[in-house]
Amino acid sequence: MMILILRTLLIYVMIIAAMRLMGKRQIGELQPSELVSTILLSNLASIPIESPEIPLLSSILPIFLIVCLEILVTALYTRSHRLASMVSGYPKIIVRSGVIDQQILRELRFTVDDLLASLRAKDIFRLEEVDLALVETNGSVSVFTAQSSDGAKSASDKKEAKRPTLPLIIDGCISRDAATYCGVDPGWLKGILRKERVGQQDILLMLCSDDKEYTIIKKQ
Amino acid sequence: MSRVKIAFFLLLVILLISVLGCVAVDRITVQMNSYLSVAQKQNQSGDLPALVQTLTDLEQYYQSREWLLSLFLRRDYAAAAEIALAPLRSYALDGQKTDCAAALRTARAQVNAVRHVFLCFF
Repeated sequence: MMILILRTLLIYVMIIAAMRLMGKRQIGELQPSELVSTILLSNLASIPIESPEIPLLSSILPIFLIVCLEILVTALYTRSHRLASMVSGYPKIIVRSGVIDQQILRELRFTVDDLLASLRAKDIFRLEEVDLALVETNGSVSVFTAQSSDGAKSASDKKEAKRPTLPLIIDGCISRDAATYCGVDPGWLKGILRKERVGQQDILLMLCSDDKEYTIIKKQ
Repeated sequence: MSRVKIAFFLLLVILLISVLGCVAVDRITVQMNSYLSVAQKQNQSGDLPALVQTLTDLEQYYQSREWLLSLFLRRDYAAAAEIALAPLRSYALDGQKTDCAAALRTARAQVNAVRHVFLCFF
């Protein structure tokens, strides 16, 4: 029994060390790869506690292997947006100007109930208040409401009211969804890049709104 | 960035321990199998003193390496190998050739089972 207590203590300390090594990302909202590694870690950690005939190394090695893979994969994400999109997916626009995109809803296997529940969780009880809603890669819903561009009473105020921006280019890659939302075509984009004297691959982030206001952040 | 370096280092350590574990279990089981092969030949030829010596050497070898096996193997597998080795000397000392032959085959099968479980992918 004492052995069981000692093994439990050791595994507990080890898991804390593993979580600490992985950082705050793991404790916040989870991306798919992070969820997988968290589930695997919890299962692996319980094995030597429940089964004293299994050597500790049989759990310790896989646990730290998963931690290492998680850290290295997330480090690779920072270098390759394509890899990050392949593993985690990318955000999808589900509501625009109060209109639900039913095709995206079906693709995501998101029911209308799920969507309305997510909106209610953000204190939004009227769909028409939603200017833009995205389903993020971790399954949460982000909302930009018409009231966010607020206090806009006159036409000139409405013009100056801030519109939501989406990432049109991330790490040199163009987002088709964002391009559709912003109503921009490749010709317009080429013109802007020529005007700003910057190549597509040199851009870390280009944000654009649907009234074609953009911000470019170049790679350093 | 320091986390990435730690991750690389840990990955190397994990690979090293895994390779060392495979090499250790492989060498120990090969050595045990060779003792058992020699013991089988000695049992067949009826050379009892040499058989008893071989089985004593085998027991001592296993006891000296048991700590290493228990780091990597499930206790029940390691224990099964030990249980299979236990009656061998008694059969040899009593001159029970047939029983000794059967026990040697069992021990060999058990050692091969340990090899298969630890070293085979499928």
